[in-house]
Amino acid sequence: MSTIAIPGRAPGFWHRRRTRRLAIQAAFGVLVALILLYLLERALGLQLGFEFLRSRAGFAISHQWATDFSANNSRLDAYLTGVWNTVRLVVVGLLLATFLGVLAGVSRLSSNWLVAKIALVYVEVFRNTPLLIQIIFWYTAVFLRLPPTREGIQLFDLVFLSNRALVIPWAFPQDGIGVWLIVLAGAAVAAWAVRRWRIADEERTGQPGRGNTMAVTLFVLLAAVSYALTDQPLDLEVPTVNPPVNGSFRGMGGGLQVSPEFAGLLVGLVMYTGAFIAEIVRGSIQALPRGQGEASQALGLGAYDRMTLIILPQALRIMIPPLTNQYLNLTKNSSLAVAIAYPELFFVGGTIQNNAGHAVPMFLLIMATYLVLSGVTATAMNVLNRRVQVVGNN
Amino acid sequence: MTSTETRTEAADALTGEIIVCQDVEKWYGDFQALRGITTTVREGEVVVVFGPSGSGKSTFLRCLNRLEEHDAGRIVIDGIELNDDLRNLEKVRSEVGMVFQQFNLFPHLTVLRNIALAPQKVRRMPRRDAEALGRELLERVGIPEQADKFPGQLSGGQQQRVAIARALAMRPKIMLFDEPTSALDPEMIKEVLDVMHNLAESGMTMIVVTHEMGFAREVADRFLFFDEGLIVEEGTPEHFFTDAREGRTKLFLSQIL
Amino acid sequence: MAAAARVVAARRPWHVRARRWARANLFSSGWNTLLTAVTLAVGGYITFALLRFVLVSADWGVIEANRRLIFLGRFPQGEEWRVWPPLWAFLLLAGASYGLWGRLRPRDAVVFVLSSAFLYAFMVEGANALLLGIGLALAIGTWAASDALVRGSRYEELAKRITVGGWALLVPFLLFMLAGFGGVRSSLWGGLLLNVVVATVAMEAALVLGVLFALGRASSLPLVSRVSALYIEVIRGAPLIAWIFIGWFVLPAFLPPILGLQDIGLVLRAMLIFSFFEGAYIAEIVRGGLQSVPRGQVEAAHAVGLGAVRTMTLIVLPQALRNVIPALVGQLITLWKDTSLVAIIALTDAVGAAQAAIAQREFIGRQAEVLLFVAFLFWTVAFVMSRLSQQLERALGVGQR
Ligand SMILES: Nc1ncnc2c1ncn2[C@@H]1O[C@H](COP(=O)(O)OP(=O)(O)O)[C@@H](O)[C@H]1O
Ligand SMILES: [Mg+2]
Repeated sequence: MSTIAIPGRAPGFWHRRRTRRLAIQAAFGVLVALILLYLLERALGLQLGFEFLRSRAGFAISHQWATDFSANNSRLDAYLTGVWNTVRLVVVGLLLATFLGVLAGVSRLSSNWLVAKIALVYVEVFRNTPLLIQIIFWYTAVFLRLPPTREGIQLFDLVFLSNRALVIPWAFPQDGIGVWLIVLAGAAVAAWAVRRWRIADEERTGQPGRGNTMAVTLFVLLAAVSYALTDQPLDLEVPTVNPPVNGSFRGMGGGLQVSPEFAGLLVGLVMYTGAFIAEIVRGSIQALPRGQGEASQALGLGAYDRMTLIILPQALRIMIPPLTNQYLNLTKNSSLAVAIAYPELFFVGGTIQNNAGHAVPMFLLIMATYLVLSGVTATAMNVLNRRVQVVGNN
Repeated sequence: MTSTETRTEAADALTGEIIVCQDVEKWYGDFQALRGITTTVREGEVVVVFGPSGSGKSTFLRCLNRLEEHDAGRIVIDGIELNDDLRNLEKVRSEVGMVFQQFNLFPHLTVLRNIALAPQKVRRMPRRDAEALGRELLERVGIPEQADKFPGQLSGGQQQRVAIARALAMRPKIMLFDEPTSALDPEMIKEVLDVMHNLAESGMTMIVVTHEMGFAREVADRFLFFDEGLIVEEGTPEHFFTDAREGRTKLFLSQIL
Repeated sequence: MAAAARVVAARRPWHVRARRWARANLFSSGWNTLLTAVTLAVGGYITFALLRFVLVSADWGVIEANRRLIFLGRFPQGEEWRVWPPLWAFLLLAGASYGLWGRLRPRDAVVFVLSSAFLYAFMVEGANALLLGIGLALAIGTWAASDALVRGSRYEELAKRITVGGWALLVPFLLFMLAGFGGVRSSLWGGLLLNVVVATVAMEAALVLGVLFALGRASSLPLVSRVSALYIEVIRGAPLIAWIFIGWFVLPAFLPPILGLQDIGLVLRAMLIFSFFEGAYIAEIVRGGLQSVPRGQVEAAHAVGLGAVRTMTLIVLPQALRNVIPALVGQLITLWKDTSLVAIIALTDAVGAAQAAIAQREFIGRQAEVLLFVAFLFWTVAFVMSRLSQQLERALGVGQR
């Protein structure tokens, strides 16, 4: 038999898929390379080194906590103080925003009409208003408008409010703190072991093990007893009025002093991010098929078991990726501190750049810092995410 | 408490009536989904419910284990009246098993954990016993080798068999099936129906919503035909296939057969 | 007969229904009753304090005195007329769109009437009242005409196309009216007007850039995909305010010294920064949309003979965008709120105007009034956008088949 004749011919060089792809990529590569070259050429005319960070800073930083920076330290020290100020703002902010967001998100699903509506109003108001305005509002219209120190407001002898500082009760570590912390760690391990034992026992006998209750009780008990035995290693202070006259905050003392800048930023970031987290929490719980709740009901599982064993583990896995985004947003949004001069990393970096020039290396450093901060947050959340994901997603 | 209640219980025990429904009504807002359902089911009886979509079949089943609260009438399950008493609710839930059209397995738990969870948490069974029971039930529904997989890794038919095993693990006296094969591919329907067939032969009290009329005819003691929230016709399978009275029943049967 | 019986049985007297409703939704258990009481106390106090502030203790004179500053910034006297035609065009297009695609529900109508009444009571006077009246009349007129006459007629398709084209031309028209024929330098644009201009320009540009970078990242060409991914990640890695500062301090040194590019004003640079910044976020959203389109769609398109480009632009991209409308609008709302950041680089947008007003000697201590008012302006626009997105979702049947 003869072979069947196939009309036409093999594609020419320019019509081959491989050639096309190569050509497009080459053209694209050349374009990108040209842009980079141009930028590089421009940059070469600018100051690019980092030596300027070694020089004396020459400015003071008003907000410090557990740092000891003065104008004679280097600019790098100043910057690191700013980074530390960002970190403590962000850590406190993340914790409070998560708490508020979960509370508001669950409230939106409440069977109580009033609670659900109030949560809805909170979300709609704070989510749709610029964060910058909110921060300026809390700072200038709330915290700076508090009465001056000498007429400050005292609430239940626990909190002292004035336009110089909010003073909250605080526990300051004393000499014996090291020993007590070690005992606390031991107590935590013991509580964990008891919980494991109670869970194993519950699985063996079927009777309620009350692992969580027992573990918490044990921990609190051990902590309290060792606290007394190690001679009270924490100095609990409540705000007092009219104590030592020297020191910048004349007329008040005791407790922890929170500046209006920190308070304004924190409240702004928490209220704003909390509204977004609330929507994520609500959406994730609602995204579960109704059948999940119904099937657990039909099996006779009680409300607590239903929530902790069926609903939350599944909602969590939907929740974590968008929650990570919100955490990153809060981290980046902390840079709005420049608007009210709270010296976190962006504000300090900007100040150094203002004093010394060197804009390119300074902004590179700032961006690298944010990339590291975001990287740490994202990595932690990814670890969590991997732990809650499910095999063979239907 | 009252003499009526004791009398009902005594009467139930005598006649072996395990489910008693009297003038049950259910409203969704201004829409009435059940318009007065009165029927009884005896112990060991297999009742098949069928009827057009939206006729209230699912609503009826869901009222029987109080996934929905009925608005009027009375429902008594094994001598327990369904009312606001939460203790009654707990008792009824663990006596009535339910299998859903969409399986509703818990995707974050293995097949074995799906089955063992409720016996452990509700029946307070030791974990080892609950899992042994789980494996035994998986054996019974024909998929012992799937115990450690997650639901997402199983076929639809296998998932539905796990769902049946999960309900059986609570050792219920009554099983409710709401269109258990409607979401399945044809080749998987038989494996699920076989499991249900065996269950019926073992003497389980069952209420099954299904349109698999061949299966229904084989296992059912009684048919209920629902339309617009009412039981329009009731009788043995033979009655329905030979001399159904109502026009609506005949029309519907001719459409699905 | 059966239907009639149902309705009769359904109607219980209103006070019985109210009592049932309250029992189910407010007092279903002891715990719930307590919750209701506590929320009522706290919520009631906040509402009361807010109302007392707005109606009694606030001094709105500061807004009265600075209204022009908040809305127009330092826009020259005598040039305000340039703002009206674009606003009329906007209202006209909004009315037409509502009539052609939307459905006027009683609640929307109430909101519309109330906000118009609010505008007239507090915001406008003199000639402006007349000019705004023209705009509102245009909106109502086109809405009524397109709803009653055009919709369902054989001109409906044509009208829809004209409307879409109108929306696309609105931003160029706005820019032309502001800057064209001996117009106003961009450095003098200010107030809420500046937020609107920056936001609308950046929205259009960011959407285009976002789609391009999303396609780049999803490309099968490794170099294109890597470069796009790198761009997106670097942009998203640092806060917007850092990019704005870079646009302020660093960008000029990198612009080529041709065509006067090096002297472009702050406003233009802000537009550039916003477009490229939000473009990176939109790219990630669009990428999610591209991934949500089932592979079968691509295969079906290839099977009917569409090439790679046509498959993407005609089949995949429209579905992808449709699937992510809520996220896209969410990002555009973020962009709208973010325009307030230009206040930090000393532009007099609405927030900058607010800060200027607060600093005035005669209005010391009036921060709350000014900030609440400006926040309310931003909030209204953002809220309307989110509602429109819900209408759009419904009109396009997202999440349905
Ligand atoms: N949660 C609900 N809210 C409002 N209406 C409902 C709800 N559940 C069911 N219905 C309505 O009740 C009627 C009966 O539904 P169902 O019992 O599911 O019918 P079937 O299972 O026979 O198809 C239908 O018209 C349905 O629309
Ligand atoms: Mg049904």
